[in-house]
Amino acid sequence: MEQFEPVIVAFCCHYCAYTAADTAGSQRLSYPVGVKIVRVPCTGKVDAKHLLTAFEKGADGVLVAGCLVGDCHFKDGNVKAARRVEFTKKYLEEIGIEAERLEMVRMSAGMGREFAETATAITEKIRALGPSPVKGKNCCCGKAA
Amino acid sequence: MQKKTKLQSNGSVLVVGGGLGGIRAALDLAEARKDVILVDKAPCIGGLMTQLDRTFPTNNCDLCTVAPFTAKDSRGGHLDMRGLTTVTAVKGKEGNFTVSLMTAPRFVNVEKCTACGECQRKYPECVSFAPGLDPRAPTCMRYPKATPYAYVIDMAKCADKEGLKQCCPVGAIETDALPKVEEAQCGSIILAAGAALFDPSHLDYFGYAAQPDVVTSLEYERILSASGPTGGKLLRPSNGQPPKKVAWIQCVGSRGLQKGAGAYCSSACCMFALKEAMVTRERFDSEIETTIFYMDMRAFGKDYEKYLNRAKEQYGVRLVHSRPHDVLRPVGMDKLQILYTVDEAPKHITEEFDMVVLSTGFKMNEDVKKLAEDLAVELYADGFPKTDCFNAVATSVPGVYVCGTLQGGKDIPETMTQASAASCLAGAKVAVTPRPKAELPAVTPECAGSPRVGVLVTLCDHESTALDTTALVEYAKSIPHVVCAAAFEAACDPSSFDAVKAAILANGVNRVVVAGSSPRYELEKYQAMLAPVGINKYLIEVANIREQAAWVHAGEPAAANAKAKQLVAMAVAGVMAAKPLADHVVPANKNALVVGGGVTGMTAALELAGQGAKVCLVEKTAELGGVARNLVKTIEGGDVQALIADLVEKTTSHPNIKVFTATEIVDHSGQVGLFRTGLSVNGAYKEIEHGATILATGATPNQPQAFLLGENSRVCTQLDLQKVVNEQPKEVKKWKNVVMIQCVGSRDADNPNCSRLCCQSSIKNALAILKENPNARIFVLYRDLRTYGRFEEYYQKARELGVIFVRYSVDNPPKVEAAGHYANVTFTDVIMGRQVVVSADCVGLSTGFVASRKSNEALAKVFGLPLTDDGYFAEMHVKLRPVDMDKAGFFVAGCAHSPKVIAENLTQARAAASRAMTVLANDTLVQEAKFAHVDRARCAACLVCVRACPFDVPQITVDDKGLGRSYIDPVKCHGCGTCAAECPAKAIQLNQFEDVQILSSLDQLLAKVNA
Amino acid sequence: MKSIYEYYAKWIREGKLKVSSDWNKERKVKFTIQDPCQIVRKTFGDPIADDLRYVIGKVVGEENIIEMTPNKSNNYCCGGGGGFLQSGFTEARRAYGKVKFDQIMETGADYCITGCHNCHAQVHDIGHHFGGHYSTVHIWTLICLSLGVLGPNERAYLGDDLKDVNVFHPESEH
Repeated sequence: MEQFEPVIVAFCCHYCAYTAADTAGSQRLSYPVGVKIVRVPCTGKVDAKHLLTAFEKGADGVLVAGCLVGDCHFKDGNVKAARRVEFTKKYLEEIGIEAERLEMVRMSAGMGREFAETATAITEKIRALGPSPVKGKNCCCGKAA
Repeated sequence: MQKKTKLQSNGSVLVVGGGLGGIRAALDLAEARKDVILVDKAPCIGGLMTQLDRTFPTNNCDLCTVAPFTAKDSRGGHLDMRGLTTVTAVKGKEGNFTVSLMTAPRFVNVEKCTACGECQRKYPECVSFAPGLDPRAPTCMRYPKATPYAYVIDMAKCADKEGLKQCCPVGAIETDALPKVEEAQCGSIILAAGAALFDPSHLDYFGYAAQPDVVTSLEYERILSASGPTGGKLLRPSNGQPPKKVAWIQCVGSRGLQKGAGAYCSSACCMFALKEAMVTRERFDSEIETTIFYMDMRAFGKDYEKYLNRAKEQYGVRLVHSRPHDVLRPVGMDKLQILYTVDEAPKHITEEFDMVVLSTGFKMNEDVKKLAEDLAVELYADGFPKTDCFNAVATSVPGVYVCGTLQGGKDIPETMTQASAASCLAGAKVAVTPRPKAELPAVTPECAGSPRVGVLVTLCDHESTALDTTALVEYAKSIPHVVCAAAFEAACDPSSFDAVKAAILANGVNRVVVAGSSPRYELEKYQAMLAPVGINKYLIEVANIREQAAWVHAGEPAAANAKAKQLVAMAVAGVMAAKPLADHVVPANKNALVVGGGVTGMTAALELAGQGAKVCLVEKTAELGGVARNLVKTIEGGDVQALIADLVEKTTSHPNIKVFTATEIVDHSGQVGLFRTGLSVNGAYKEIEHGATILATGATPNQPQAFLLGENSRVCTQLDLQKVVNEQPKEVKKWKNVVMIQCVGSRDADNPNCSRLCCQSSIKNALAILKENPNARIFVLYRDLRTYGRFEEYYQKARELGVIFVRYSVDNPPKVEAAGHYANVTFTDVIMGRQVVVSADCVGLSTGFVASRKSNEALAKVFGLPLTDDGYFAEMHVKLRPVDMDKAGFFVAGCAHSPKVIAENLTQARAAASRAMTVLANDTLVQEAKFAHVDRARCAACLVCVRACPFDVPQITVDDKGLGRSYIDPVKCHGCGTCAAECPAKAIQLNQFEDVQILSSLDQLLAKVNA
Repeated sequence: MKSIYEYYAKWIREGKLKVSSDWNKERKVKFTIQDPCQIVRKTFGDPIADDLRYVIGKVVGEENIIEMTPNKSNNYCCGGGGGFLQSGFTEARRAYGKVKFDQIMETGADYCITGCHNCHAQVHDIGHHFGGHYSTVHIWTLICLSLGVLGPNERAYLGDDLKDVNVFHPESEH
């Protein structure tokens, strides 16, 4: 059977995580192809609505990647994002989606290796969890809810 | 007859040489609104870089990140660029040079030429395209993206002038064109014409002249390059087969090794050999064995040590410490043999290779030398210009400056830094030339219209070997609302933008997706380029298919291509949902803040003040001078204390500079052109306003716990040692044995980078000790002796005077033990193959520098700036923007960027000042429309946004209907979008990142998941 | 700066130096050539090595030259240069010279021609030390021999086979 390739939406802040992903690129550090980056000015901009929409549309995992604590270009957007992620996790559990599918990570612009490693680790984790239960509702394969 | 005309541009700067350095210098001046003439004898700009396949440390080309800015209609018309032009005579002096320029005929009318290539097909003997491996070939378009986009003809080689003339379908060939001679006045001159490369033909033992598979590093670049003779395939010149083993031999033409070689180190070759080896394995075949034969691996630049480690560990590049004896190809053998020995086993080793690359160094270009001599610039015996020991870009002639490899061998970041520094000095006495600003079209709903999307694929082939750009273009055309899509292969060519603009106008495009590198590089560039054709800057979206597809998935072309398509589709979805927006134009603040009162900060402040900016210089300690206060002399003999005294005197007495000592930065807000920074001056709060900021906060001398430092009185750092030599000569005269240990606290796990300055400082101290006490025996225990550039000559001198240099390996470091009155140093001498114990009167540890991590972290937090892993400030682009920071209006100079010697710090200070002047020269400032706005109809005045905003911007204001609603001041808003995310009613949207844009992208991204 | 090899070659080409290899037509004594590092690799490169071969070919007959491998610019150092002959490290010097010795022995030549005094002393010494059968001779000795102007007292380095060839003023021996 073909290996399940999870689709992961990574909301990356422009100043740190997005730049870290660029650094990973320039160092040719590969990460799984299923990880797709959406650029935001700050993780503080990432709304619970965006996270849930991503799951609703069929993402197997969602990553919110911001700056290291204290390094936020906008003071504390990353802290607020972390709070929102925690809240959304609880909500996900309630509706039957594993909370582990959503994760907040922090890195600095120079941490290309960390970006690639994180992206790989999360993909592996989600691969172990299997496809998102949301998908089961819309198609016949996978776990039916 | 020759036409002689007089140019009307007085008071401008002449830049000779259109390589990267020349372009940077010219752009800095033009951006600071000063007129500049840029001439190059080649028909196209780009210099040596255009011949390179990729550059370190990012392993990409990046010419496209600078070249477009030289386009004719950019930079407010301050830049006058001329190809095929040489300087034939110079008269006058600083402030009033008269230069004679001769422009050779191109024999092609650039205005008419469509670059169809017909002339080249019919008359290949006089019109040619790719340079091949022979740099002397009569080339016109040195690289396919040459600028300006037109052919050149070598008329001397043409037998049928009439036929050539007739073959052109548009009549662009003018066979009887004559050279044009012009005269121009200019205030100062920057020589940036680069250097020549060492020609190893006469070194028979390397077989370069006789063996096709022995090539120079530049030829190897051409073989790797997509625009090279093999079309980007790595093949052996002898038989067209791919090589399995490639070797590099370092220091060919450098370090005084061979006949005709310069005594200096060329400084860049170690890095480019590493790069070529890495690219070979990464791009062609990871099975190809790559071996570098080296003397000292000189990875001394910022983060270069990490690059070296990556080469070894990640790419498996093999490094052999050896100077090979020769390169042979025995009769009847297909392979080359390298004969060498290694330190550990003094026996002959013969190893076979398919290709051998000679890492040839730089040497002075004869044409340039002649021009320098005409200008009466003093030269060293090797032809490179003599420069001041505290000012590496100033020649002996006032008003004549140098930068880049013309000044001495160096890599691109240092070239760029020197270029900006030269433009700082050259522009200092030249007035701003007022020019009317082009009016941009007003933002109206019509500029959005019904969406007509144009997709530009701007990735060049050699950066995207994994991607099929043709298929990507075809795919883009199939996306609804995309009215045109094209691969735009000449992103580094300013004039090729014309074709893009024409396509946009012809198709009525009103939204653009650029599929190329990161939006961090592309967005601003295309916003500026496409504004004149009416594309609103907020209707441009970038699909990052380079970093996120071509590069990360370089090994999996299928995945990379699929992802690139998806990224383009996402970007189209995003741009469809985007709205046109108008920027605000506000008056700009023209003052500068310089943080750090060391020699770097003072120099930057003085350069800015000299150009009329009001400068606020903030120093944390009570005194100006910084770490340099501990230094006595430079290796060249420059008096550091006199320099400091002079800088302090000038800084404190300059009417434009206000110095705040014992002052810390406490808060900061605003944006480029309108910064506001809070200072704590001796504990009292004070707020200042400024338009640009230079960080020159230095670094900290390292004090690692090693080799009994701080425990044994015989052990000290090189800084302390220098003081002892200077202050206690009697003590020094008593010394019998001195041992210096290099790389203490550098190049290790805790501090992986090289501190750059320690090798020269130990040699400086060794020479100073020998001056006091010629009988002292000095041992320098080193890992790689990194005396780059002219420091090599001091290394040579130290060896001549009997200093003993012993190499140690990191697995077998020396030991230092207290032994009564002495410190015993035990080390292994590889050549003798035994342990040696020296009872030292003094052990000098080269402890180097570490980042002032704590204070840098505090400053980075206040200013919102990124740091590197090891705590230095991170520049925007390691290669092309070495002093700019990611946050617009911030620049970094000196040891705050990475450790370096005083002269280099001062060069960076001037470079940062030059870059800052490009900001401060503007009277007005464009405020981007990236702010949040409130839909008052939806707002419930719940105060969530008021509480969420990190900058306290939202306020509840009462409108004319008497309703209290949230209001966000566009000028104050930083554009983070936190309020938009928190607003429960979704009444707030952040321009450029509206929910509908993000959700459309998400929709597109996940569309196929459920399909 | 010029090397004497270049002049030898020039003078022979111009007919000023009337050398001949006739003396070796029947004898077929074999010669190999030591390219000195200083003159070849470090100074003039392969062109001077080619001049040297031109001269030797004219003097001993081209067919009587057996080349070492590698040679010319890529020739191995004899091990006697750089002051090594006087430095006192005799054992190390000879150990290094073993490479050269083996190379000469492999050619099977009767003589090794050296153009540099340092090489001459070293090649001669290692020949003796390692028990080689070859003789070591200067290029000028052979030029004089072929011109017929080599006196009986100038043949210290020639083997017995050449002691009586073309002797100039044999009476001067005593």
